[in-house]
Amino acid sequence: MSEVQTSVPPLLEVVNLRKTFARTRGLLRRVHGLVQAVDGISFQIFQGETLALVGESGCGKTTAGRCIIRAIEPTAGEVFFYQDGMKQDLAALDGPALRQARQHIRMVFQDPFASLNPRMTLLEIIGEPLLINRRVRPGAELQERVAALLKLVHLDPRYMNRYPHAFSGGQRQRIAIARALALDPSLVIADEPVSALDVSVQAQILNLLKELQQEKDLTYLFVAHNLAVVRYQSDRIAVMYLGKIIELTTRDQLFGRPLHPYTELLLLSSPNPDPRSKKKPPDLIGEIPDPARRPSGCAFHPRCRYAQPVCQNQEPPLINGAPEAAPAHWVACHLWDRLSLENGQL
Amino acid sequence: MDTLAPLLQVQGLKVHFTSKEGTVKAIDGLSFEVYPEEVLGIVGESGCGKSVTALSILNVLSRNARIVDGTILFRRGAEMIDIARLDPDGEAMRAIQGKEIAMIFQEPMTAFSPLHTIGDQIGEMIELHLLGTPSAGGTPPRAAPPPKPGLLNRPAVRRWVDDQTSAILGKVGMPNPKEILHAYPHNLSGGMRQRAMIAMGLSCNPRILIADEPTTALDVTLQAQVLRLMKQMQADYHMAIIFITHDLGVIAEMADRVVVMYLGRVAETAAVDDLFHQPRHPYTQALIRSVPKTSGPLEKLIPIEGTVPSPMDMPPGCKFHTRCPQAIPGRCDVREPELIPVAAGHAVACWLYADGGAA
Ligand SMILES: Nc1ncnc2c1ncn2[C@@H]1O[C@H](COP(=O)(O)OP(=O)(O)OP(=O)(O)O)[C@@H](O)[C@H]1O
Ligand SMILES: Nc1ncnc2c1ncn2[C@@H]1O[C@H](COP(=O)(O)OP(=O)(O)OP(=O)(O)O)[C@@H](O)[C@H]1O
Ligand SMILES: [Mg+2]
Ligand SMILES: [Mg+2]
Repeated sequence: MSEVQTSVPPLLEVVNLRKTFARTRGLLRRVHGLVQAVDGISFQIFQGETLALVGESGCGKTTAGRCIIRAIEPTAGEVFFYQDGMKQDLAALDGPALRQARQHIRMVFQDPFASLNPRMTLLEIIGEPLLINRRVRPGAELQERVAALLKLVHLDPRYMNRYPHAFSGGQRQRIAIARALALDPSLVIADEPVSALDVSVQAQILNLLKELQQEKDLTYLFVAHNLAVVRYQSDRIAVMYLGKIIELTTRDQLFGRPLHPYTELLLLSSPNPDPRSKKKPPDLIGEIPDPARRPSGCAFHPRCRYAQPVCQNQEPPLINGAPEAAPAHWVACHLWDRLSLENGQL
Repeated sequence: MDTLAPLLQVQGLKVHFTSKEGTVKAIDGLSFEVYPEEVLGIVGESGCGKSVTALSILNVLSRNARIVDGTILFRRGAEMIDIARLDPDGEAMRAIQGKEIAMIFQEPMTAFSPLHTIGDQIGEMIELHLLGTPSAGGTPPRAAPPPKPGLLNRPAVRRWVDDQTSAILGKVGMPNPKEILHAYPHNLSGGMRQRAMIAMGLSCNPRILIADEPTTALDVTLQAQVLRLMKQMQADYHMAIIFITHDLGVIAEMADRVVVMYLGRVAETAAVDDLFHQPRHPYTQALIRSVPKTSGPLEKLIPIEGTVPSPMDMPPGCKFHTRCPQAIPGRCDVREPELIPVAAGHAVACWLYADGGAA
């Protein structure tokens, strides 16, 4: 998939990324099934933008993020990272080159309680990547940098010698963000960064992420399942279903004129905090499928209220549904130009 | 709804926990009512006491909890029974638990034993109900009248219970209820377990169903279906639902009336439309401004400043004053406001509305 969006190269270009997990059973760990967690996805992220990956639990969002930073090994595909006029395939790097490249891409996780080592102080947690990568010397220089990072995420630098348990969920997520930003990365992969937080705290973290993006010209891959949150945070949105991208376009096009019936289902099902909202979720047909038993043709067909015989037999390609318009609107549906879908904006 | 007598009346309830670190005033002067056949939404941030409220109503609090003050009046016929005064293990309470007031949880696995089939577990509830005191709930949609219980009639009872169980499983949208009877909880998908739990909650045709975050762990697609199912069941079974969640979107979709809780007290209560479109309490207003919406203009989110105080170290006066942009010094930080009526069915615990509603 190539995008005519702009002539500047993207910051990151993912090409046909795949990850297959083996499902094992018993003591001998015999393989009894394969899960195509990420099944050949391609997309680009441009400098300074936020691209969201959304979809139901198990559709492969986290796996995609982890393959990109090589926290796990992709089964196939390329992950091109453009930095200082150079193009590198992260999926093919190893050793010092991989370590070097990884400094530009950092990750923030969902659970700020699990992701911080309880036996390390904030100074150690945030300072660790700085020391490992020899960015600063221990002592005064390190403290100064950590203090600046804490200020950046609006935490009091005097907390530096405390342990994470003394902080609330929202504060811990700030600590995790400070750690992720320690090496001045250009891309941050945020995997459900507010899902574990209280409603009133979510807004603080979402606003902080936006503010940091402006200040540091950061680029985000924002993994989430909450469409309302995604609507506030992203420029473009990729919708995943069972390991594949089934729709990818700008936020306004996705919310204003979705082209895939699955996107319509997500939009109509998302609860809206307004009792006057009149949108009605369609009847649920079928069950959410087991990723190890992917339906034939379009994987969504057993749950699709518009499905036709062709949907069962042939897999629809991802095509640009708006070739004449400036921002592309990618969709993988046989019927995309014959349906008039609801957008949930009632 | 105001013309009806409440089914449940919580008045001045205080529930405290003793722990190593000190006393946790989890519920600290809570009052609200539940009317027949309504969905009452209870919303609030983590730790504000939603689950403790539910456990108090069912009288299943942990050993370190104590109801320090207040009443939980449950109407049965002309009589009002104070659940707060009932022995948790006594006859009277057992006649209410699961029969007149049932509960469903966020994690369905906590509701089911892994050792018994879904059919046995729901069937047991139905059978207990059949043999025990009949509930005063609405007419359950039952096909056949129950056979006389008794040793001789065992096979007939068994068949009847199985029929009832699969009928309920069918009602909650299980694809093949007769097979599900013999399934164990771990054989079911997450969504099916959730539906089985709702079936269990409904099995005794309760008058009040308490649902504590029943859809929080589900994907939105499944959540939408479960919510719709619960509304349908509420109408069919003529029951009241107390729907507990931290998700304002879910509240907007489910509730007829809403109670907004903050640190163990009611901050505001109103009909759902009034609450979202004319919120009065600064806390409610702030909550609504802080949540992203799926439609409408993309206004900047305004977070609530500060953090929820520790329940072990509660601020004096109105508990929200430490985060309130409109707090009046010398007043809000000194005395705790009581609920003040501001419109029909709309009350708010805030000093801004004392003296006839200054704000
Ligand atoms: N280490 C692993 N071994 C085996 N299977 C795995 C592993 N990690 C993930 N999977 C499977 O891969 C699929 C995708 O999982 P992934 O965690 O990427 O989904 P997700 O979209 O992030 O879901 P969620 O919204 O629940 O976080 C799932 O079916 C999951 O069970
Ligand atoms: N068994 C217990 N012992 C001590 N404190 C408890 C106990 N159970 C609950 N609490 C405290 O009571 C307060 C209210 O807890 P509760 O579980 O009702 O909150 P909640 O509103 O349901 O929150 P959440 O949205 O996280 O479920 C909290 O401060 C909690 O720590
Ligand atoms: Mg994930
Ligand atoms: Mg709770």
